[in-house]
Amino acid sequence: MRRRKFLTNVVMAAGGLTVPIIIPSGCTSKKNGKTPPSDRIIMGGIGLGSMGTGDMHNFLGMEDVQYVAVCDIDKSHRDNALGIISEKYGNKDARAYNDFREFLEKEKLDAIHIAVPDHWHAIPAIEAATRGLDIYGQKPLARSVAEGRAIVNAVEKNNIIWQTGSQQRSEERFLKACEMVRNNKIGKIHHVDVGLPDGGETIGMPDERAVPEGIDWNMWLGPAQKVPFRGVIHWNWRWILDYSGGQLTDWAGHHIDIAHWGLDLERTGPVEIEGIGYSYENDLFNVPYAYDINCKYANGLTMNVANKSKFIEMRKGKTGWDRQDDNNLGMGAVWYGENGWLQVNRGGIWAENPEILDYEIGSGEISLYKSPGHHRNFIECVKSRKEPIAPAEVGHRSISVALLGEIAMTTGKKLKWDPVAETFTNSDLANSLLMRKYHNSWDLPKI
Amino acid sequence: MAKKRERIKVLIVTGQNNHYWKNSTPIFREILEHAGIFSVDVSTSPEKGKDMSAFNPKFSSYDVVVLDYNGDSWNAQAKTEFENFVRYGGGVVVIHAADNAFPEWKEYNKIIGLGGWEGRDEKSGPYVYWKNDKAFYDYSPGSAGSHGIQWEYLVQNRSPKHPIMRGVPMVWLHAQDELYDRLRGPAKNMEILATAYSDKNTNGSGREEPILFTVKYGKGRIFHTVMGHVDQETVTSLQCAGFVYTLQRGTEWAATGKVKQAVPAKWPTKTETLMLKQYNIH
Repeated sequence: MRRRKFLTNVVMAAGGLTVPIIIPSGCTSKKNGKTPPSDRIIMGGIGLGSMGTGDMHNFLGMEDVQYVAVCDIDKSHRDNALGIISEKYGNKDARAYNDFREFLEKEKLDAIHIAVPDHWHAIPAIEAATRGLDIYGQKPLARSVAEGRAIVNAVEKNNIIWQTGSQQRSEERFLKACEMVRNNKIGKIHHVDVGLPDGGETIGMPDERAVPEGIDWNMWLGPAQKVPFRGVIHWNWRWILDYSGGQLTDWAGHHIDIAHWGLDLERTGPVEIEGIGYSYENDLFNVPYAYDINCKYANGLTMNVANKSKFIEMRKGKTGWDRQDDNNLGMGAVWYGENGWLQVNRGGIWAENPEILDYEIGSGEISLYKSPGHHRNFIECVKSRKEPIAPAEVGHRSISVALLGEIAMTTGKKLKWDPVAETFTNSDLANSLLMRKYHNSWDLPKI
Repeated sequence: MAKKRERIKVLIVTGQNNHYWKNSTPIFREILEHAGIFSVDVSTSPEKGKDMSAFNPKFSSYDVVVLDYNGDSWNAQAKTEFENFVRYGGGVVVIHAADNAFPEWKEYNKIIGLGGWEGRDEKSGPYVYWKNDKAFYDYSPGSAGSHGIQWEYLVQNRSPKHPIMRGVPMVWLHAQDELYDRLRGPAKNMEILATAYSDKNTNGSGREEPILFTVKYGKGRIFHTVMGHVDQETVTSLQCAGFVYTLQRGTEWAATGKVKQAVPAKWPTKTETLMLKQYNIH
């Protein structure tokens, strides 16, 4: 059942008193068939590790947002978050939960952030969408293609606002690069390279050990297979395939997303994929540390996604690649057009012909979505009911490239993909890998 | 009822840097929050090249200002308010490239003690390094600021009685980082807390360079760490337990003149780094 709150708590400026204020449901305008919430957005968060706390900080800094509850399976995360909230508001009114189901059931919220390990992305997102909550959800959208599609469907069916945490879109440098490519500043594009970090750590197989006090290990595992605790949990889950695909899936939501945005491919996908990856043997950390994925799109354009070391070697000695800083060399999106290349990453923007970088968008040229900041854009869209800069479909299509690449590496085959039906047309094995097996009696919620 | 202990109010100033501040600032905030004694706000400047006239952080509402900023000049009012904040007892923490900022701003350079790059030279003040077991002021001419390749280097505790360094090991191996060398500046009222040998084999200076030090300016206390280089995808130096704990301790000292935090038992040793990987890119 959809619930949208009619009662909301507002902290009065004087004295910090909490009084209920009744927002009449009948006198506000309706857009997209739903009532916009009151001016103050009541928020909570699922996942208060480093990413989630960072997201919460961004929202706490806004006067029209109030955090009233947090949810995390680690007591130390809950306590830390409650400390930050109570410091901010000067009271101890916020509530904390271990179980997201109880959090969603008991709290009356407008919006939430979700920042949990990838294997946990789908279930709480769909449950929250079904309850009509708007969601700022961390990238990558999901751990598998089918889970990602389910999230998109839940978002669209319930008409909620979804912002994927692909925050590079809200940075001027990336916007400029994508507008230059869209406006043919390097001519027609035939290829794009996406350089992501060299990946993976190695740890061997640590001994089983006692779960630290305050951590609900079974809840942390959730739909992943039951395994003993070996000391690896926060942050470092990303080196284990049950929970993440490593740097490849971690960064897909950034640089593949930007590559797509520049090419207007952000709502489709490749038609051919092949890939090769390397991972450590007999190691708990089993994600690929090196990977090389080649895709082809319906318009003939090719995309290569690989860990950056490959590109550093490839590009050394080429025109314009004489910079000392290897770190910038290999990372980011590099589009290749008739009139040279253009690269963008977090360190800068470069072009084969540097003169084109003075570019300012002209009238009549294609101008892309301008965001006032990624978190701010979300809140503004919660109010206006407009689509944010990184909606669920777009987040789904960027991570899909990495997930399809992962499947291509696993099967060792050149795969043919139908980006509309979202099925492989030449491999049943590959199709069977589009959804992960759920364990411990968890299921994808019905949409 | 026990009196509620007030948290120390910290303002991180950021928004422009030749390093990827969007990686570093959230981590500095986390590191400080995890100490449990700070409440942390962030003030983000306009982007490089944009109008700075309205950028006026409310320094005076805070106990200590952490600088993760190396960019366009602040407006005259912001500069004056910052100087007064420090002069009348505010604390400052200078991290890595923040000591490249504002070469032309005299009082800022007195506050940071030492700086580098951006045209600094003998007119900026002496080179300061460790020689014969004490700080050595070298007035020979030359440009200021350089570094060799990034490497893991040994940090030497040079002031074990200082509140920040009390109980801290005498030596530890710092995670891979840039080692700034040949910094120079006014260096008035400066006390070196820790040094590192800048090995010529890593393209360094061959000197024992100051990497943690304090400065006093008026009634204000400044803690300066030259460690803390970040890239767009790695924040290795910020994960070093030695960096984390000295930042927490230095920030408390800059704010209060004391350090009440206990020294954690586990530190990097002389041969093994200790990485706190929970501090990572967002």
